[in-house]
Amino acid sequence: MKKISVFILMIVLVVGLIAGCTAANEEAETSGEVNLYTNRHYDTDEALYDIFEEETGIQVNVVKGDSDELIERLDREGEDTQADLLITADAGRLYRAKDRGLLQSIESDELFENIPENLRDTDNEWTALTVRGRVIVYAKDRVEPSELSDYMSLTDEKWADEILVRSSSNIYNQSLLASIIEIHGEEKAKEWAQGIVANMARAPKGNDRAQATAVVAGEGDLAIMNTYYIGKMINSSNEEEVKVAENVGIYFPEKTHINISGVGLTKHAKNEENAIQLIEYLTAEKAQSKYATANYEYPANPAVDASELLNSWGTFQTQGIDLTTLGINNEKAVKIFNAVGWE
Amino acid sequence: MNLNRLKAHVNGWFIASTLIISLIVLPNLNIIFRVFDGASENWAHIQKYLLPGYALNTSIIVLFTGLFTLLIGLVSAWLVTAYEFPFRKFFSWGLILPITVPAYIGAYTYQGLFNYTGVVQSFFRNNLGFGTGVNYFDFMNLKGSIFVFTIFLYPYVFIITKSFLKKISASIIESGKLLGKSNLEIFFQIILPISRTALVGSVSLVILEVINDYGVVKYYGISTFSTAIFKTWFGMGDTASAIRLSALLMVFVFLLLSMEKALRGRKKYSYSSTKIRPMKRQQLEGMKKYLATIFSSIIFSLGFLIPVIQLLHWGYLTYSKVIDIDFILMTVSSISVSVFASILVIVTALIVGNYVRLSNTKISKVYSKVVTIGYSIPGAVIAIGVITLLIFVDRQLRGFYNNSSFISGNLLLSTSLFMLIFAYVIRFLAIGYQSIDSGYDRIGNKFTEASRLLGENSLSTFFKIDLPMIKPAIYSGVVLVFIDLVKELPLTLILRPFNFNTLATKSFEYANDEMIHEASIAALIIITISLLAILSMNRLFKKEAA
Amino acid sequence: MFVTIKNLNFKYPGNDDWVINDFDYTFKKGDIIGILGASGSGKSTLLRLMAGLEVPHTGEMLLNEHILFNSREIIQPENRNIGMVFQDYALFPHMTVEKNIGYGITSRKNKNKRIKEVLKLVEMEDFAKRYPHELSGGQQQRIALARALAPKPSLLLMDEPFSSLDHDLQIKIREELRSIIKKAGITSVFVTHNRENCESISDEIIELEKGKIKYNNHKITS
Repeated sequence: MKKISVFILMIVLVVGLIAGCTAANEEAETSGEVNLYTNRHYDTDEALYDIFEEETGIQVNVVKGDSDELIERLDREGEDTQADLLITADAGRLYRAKDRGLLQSIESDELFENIPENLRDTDNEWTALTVRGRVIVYAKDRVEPSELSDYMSLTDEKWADEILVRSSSNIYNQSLLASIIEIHGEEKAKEWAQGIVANMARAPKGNDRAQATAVVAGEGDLAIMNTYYIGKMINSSNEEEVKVAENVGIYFPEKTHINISGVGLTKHAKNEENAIQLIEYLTAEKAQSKYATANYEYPANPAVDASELLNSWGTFQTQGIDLTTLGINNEKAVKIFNAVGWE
Repeated sequence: MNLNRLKAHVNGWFIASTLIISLIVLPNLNIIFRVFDGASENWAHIQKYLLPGYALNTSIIVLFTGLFTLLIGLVSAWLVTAYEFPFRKFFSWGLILPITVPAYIGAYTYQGLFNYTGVVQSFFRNNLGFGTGVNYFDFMNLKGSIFVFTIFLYPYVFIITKSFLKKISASIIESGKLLGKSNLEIFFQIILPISRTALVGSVSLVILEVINDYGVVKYYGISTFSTAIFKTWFGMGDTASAIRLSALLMVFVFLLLSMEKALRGRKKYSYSSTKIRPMKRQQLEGMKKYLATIFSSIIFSLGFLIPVIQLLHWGYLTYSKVIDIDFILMTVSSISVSVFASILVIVTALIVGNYVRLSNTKISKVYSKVVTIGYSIPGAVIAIGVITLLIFVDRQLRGFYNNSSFISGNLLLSTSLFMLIFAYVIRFLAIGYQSIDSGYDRIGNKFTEASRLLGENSLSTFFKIDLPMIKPAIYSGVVLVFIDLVKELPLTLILRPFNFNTLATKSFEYANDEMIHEASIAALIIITISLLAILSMNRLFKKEAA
Repeated sequence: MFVTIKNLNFKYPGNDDWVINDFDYTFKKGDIIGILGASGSGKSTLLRLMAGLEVPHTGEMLLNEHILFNSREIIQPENRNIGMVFQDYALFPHMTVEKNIGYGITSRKNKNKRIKEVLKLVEMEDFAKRYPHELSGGQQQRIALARALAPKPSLLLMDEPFSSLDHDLQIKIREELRSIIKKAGITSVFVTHNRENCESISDEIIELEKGKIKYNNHKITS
């Protein structure tokens, strides 16, 4: 059995080595680093982390993944996690992380100054970094903005077979419905969802950008989508996409639904001080302007102005609700979607 | 004397094989046990509103894909084996090529090709002036997914049926002719029934691939069991429901396989070693021969030419953006992990295969069946089984970790590559095993026995005689497993450690981030690797035959 | 007695019939024993049991006073010092004739000498560097024999040594085989279904039917 045991031993060793190397890092030393779980993969973010490293000497280790994966992994790792910060899109997700006991409150006066209360968790376990709106996009050649008012009126008969919106499995829609539940109550929210389904031009398919494309292709007159996608399409390298963006108009419904991309401090963070420092940096004016100009998102810091492009779309009033409710009502929203058959 | 017989069976090969078999079975048993943990509150909701949809969609896709791949695979295999027509020789291997394109890559390629902003519609709009304001083609639905699955999976049927048809003796067909039957009658009354085993077997392979898929249905927004498993596991953190869905899917697969067994009849594929006179190809005349060429060309273009050209075009547009040092590192690590895992698979297959062929007991027969279940179980299900098992193990071993100085008290097993590779072996052992098994079959036991009688024990015989003699089988086993590993998506998505991407996950990620063009580079690398692998296997077979 | 077999019983798993049924036999050193029987009589199984390629249910066997198996222990094939020539020779295709023959020789010192010796014995000295697939059937058989004899086994077993040869070759080979074996002075057992071949080279014949000895005779050869 000699040769086989040697062979097996070798394999075990190699696997062990790989396992050891790629498993969570060694005990993190306190002074030098901060570990970030994020779902964002923009160059702007990389640049920001680089500048932070230069200015403070703290090394930023970035782990990228799908939002849901990150939260699931954080949960699974428990107190053994190496993550200090969780950056993810959608307040509902951040709420979910909080609800599962994965976050802790961020004690930082600088943060409280940078970001207004309504863009932070009630217990300060997370804060917004950027803001986006979920707006109505319409065919310029077929619809007058004056015909539009708010989300609820979309269920009107006149929009029968005209509405394009993506699947209910997408969290942005879930949060939208969650906000409607918050404002109008479950029953009305269900009626609204039913009304939208009745007015759909086609069964939901494709992402937000595909909805805009479908509008221009004549499949419907209106679409519901996030503001930054429009920014992306206008600046797309695909000429056809640019044409699509140029042929749709953006309408901010009365009481526009907003959502955020935000960061939370993990409960078992090993580098708490460094983590808070990074949060303060990302919410301060310098970093916020970078977010504003490069990604077609609205800065969360009110002291920083939105980009020219975004300003050209107009101003808007938000729903004015507590963003936490996007998370609290998420389950109800999903159930309503399933019940009314919004695929 | 029975003690002797017992000792003879419980040798090193048996122990090693038993260990391996237990490791394979454990995660799957784990799922079955956990089902009894009790349902989450979500489950009732899922059952009422969502489950019927999952079952329906999955069944429709499975049914139609099975049907269409059967038709296309059978017809093309028959054309290429029985007739002569222009470019037949090219098509006889060219029609295999669509298998190098993973279905999910095909899915977003076709969508990108034909959607409103894609090449086709833009051409019609901008150059021919019509089609503005209308969206002609839409792939993101059931029909689209059936098309994609069919065109990229039919090669399974084609390859297996073709190799089977080649072994049908010419005298069978000649007898049919002499008894006055037309070509069509011979095909339906003789060829088809004989080919039953090959057809049923290959179509069920296709169906297993379809059930396993996550990339296509996710991208096209179709709710099936696999998307549901992902959703409940990740999206809702509902482990209990994810496990139940996995268990249900396993039942579905089991039913399917039982149906397959019944359809196949008692006979297995028989590869006769006696020389048969293969059928002579009939020259097609007139219109018929052009039809054959046109048919084959269409299939080939749809399945390989068109998607690859589009990918090359997109690659050309985006390569400077996509290829940076990170991308190269990712490619290298992705390939190394696949190589490592495929070698591990083959080593495992060699051990179990050797045990099975040396003993002829009920247990060994059970083992050889168990080895192949991994392939029937969808990747997502294996992943869930492995994760829940290893988390459990990790938590138990935590005390050990904390006390040992060189392992930094972390979750060693359940957050590392170890878990991923473990799951890979479970899933793909079947493929490696099939290769190794046929290799052992070819040489039989006599050389091994001769060596034993010349004084070498079982182990040194293995290295001196068995291994060298089944080298071709080992090679083709490694290659086949390697290709499958490079393409693998759902299992990798669930189990990979952070910051670890494979070519498959990277490509898929880009596509889902609405960066279809950027996805092409990784896709092209995958296709190239598969192509090279197939070509090298082709050369190997030619050498063998010579 | 050189070889003693007592109370041998064996059946294949999953099969209820005893393939070897209460088999007892002894034979003398230097004899050539022919085992005759129709297919299914158990003759090849008997050979495999002697070689250690199957494990008997009951029985014991002694070879030159060494226990090969009994109710308490069993010796592995590689340690029995038994040589075997298989029905289709089983020459290792990836090795030359030389390497094939040398495979079973353990001592490094006399290896080459011994290889030359047995090649001479089977009159195939010029074929050392050839590969098995380059040899004719009869040549392969001689190399298989040389390979089995090279390690100087105590017992030589041959499974249907004549079956893959055509009739004329069989007649020619018969005498050669007997003379090679007698020259090597080695006790041998071979199995065949052909009575003529059996009678022409054996010192003793056992006829098997359903795993039992139907009859045997002692033939005195000149």
